[in-house]
Amino acid sequence: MKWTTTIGIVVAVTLTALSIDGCKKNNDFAPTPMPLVVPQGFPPPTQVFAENPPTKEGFELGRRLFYDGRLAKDGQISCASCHQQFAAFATFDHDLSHGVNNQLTTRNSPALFNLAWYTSFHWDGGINHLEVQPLAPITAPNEMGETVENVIGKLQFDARYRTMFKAAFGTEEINSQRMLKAIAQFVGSMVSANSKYDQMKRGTAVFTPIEQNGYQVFLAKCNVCHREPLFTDNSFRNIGLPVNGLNDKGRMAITGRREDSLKFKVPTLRNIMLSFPFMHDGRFVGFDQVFNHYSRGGVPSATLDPLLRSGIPLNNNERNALLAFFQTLTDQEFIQNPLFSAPR
Amino acid sequence: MKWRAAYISSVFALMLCGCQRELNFADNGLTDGITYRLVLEHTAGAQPLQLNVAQTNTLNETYTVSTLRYYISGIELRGDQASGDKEYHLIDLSSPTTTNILAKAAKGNYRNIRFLLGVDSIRNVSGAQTGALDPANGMFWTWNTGYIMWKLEGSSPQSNEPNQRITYHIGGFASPYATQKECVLPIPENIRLETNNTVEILIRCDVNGFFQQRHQLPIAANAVCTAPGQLAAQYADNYQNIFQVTSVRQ
Repeated sequence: MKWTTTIGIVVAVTLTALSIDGCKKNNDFAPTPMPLVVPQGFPPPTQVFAENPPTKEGFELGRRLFYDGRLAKDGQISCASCHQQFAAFATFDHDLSHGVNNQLTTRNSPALFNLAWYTSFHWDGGINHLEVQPLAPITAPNEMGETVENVIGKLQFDARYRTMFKAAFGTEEINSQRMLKAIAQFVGSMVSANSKYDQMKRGTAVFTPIEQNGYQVFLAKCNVCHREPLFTDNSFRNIGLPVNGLNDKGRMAITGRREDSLKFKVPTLRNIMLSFPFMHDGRFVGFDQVFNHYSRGGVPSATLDPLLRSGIPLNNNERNALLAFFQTLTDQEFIQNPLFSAPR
Repeated sequence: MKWRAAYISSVFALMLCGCQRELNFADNGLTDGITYRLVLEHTAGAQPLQLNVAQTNTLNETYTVSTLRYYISGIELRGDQASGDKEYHLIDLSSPTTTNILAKAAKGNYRNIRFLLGVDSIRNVSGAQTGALDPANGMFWTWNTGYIMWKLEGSSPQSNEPNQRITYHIGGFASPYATQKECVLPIPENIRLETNNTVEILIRCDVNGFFQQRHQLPIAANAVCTAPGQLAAQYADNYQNIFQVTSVRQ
């Protein structure tokens, strides 16, 4: 049943790509479809690829752009500067990301994978579509500090890009829409679904007793928000972190609604061993601080999540078991997959 | 099984859309649409609005406009029938050609013109766009996805901002603070659209109304509005009512 689903999707997407191509006048333009494969047990993805079906050529173009420092004003900072593959595309061991001219941002760089299942982007959910997400870091003065116009200008000067845009989109034209669609094809195709946890679910691996204990603790105490199989429910919640000097109001800055004050997106727990420090501002460097926070409960406020009012007690046995379980969420295949590494 | 059926049918539906998009004109019956012209004229009250020249609004405040850009889309003529095209236009006062719009509608008799001041919500949630909607045009918010429908920048002695700046970036596409507004304007005489390029509709936009129309919004009270919300929606209520068809040539 699951396999037939996957095969059905592959066939349908291939047909789509072929038929869309058939509508075009230029019949020698035939990029190779590279449809998103939905892992067993995953829900259906969002419509992110509805008007932008991934192709090998589009993916490769997106990959080159992702690793290209020319997207930044200083020619140095690429998407990959803050989204490192060995850290599951988060920034390893950094609380806040760095931008051009020795600047710090105000948020912790999130890990990137399974984005085709995300309904919004950024800790505050301010971005409503994967394709337009890169505009935020590219233009933010404390991130890549560049203008869209300049980036396109720089790319147009590069003959290799002209060739790659033609391969991906049929002509050499380089514009922001094509650039953004290519990046979306690359990052949207990053799927992490082969951790030990996934293998256990598929019946090809067995948890040790402590991992199994940890899984039970997780199901009892974490799964409400960090819901399987994505390990996030895509919601925004205030877990009651004390307001610090960054004075980040979270989702309220986007919606303007008081009920959204101090709410941030629930991050995935997949690859959690690689994506520390934790929280939207990276304030917790280790699991002890995280577990202590949840055990104590959050700072009371009107928007504090009800689940955090009296805390979620975690004793030492439970903490150790959870840590063992979290290890099973690391997807070595994903972080070493040469498809996603810097192009040569 | 259910999922598979849903996938395949939705994918096939998309496939059809993919083909249809290029045929939109035919779908609208506009393969032989008649081209007509809209000419936008901007004023501050009775005076022509000139960039970088001081004007006075109806609240007796002096202001100077350095930038005025806004979107017009979904232009449609209404009469015996409603007929229009699906183009998006970015009007930019610093580029006079943009105040001259070529639009298309089917043959017929018409009494009203309708357009959206701004960009419909669908285009605000559908990812990367191009042409008039290219984010490189500086009319797109990168931190809170969505188009700036109307951008007015300049200065005023009534502003307490640095350099007495006034900055109005009006956007936000979601209710209750949607700033894309439908304008329906009566045309003083019936128009008959029969042959290309013979009809020209002159539309006046009185920018003074931005500050006082349905709401009274003095510069002294708000010299800056750069986020979606109630204030932005009030400015949008105002600009919904500042357009008027002044004459027709046919």
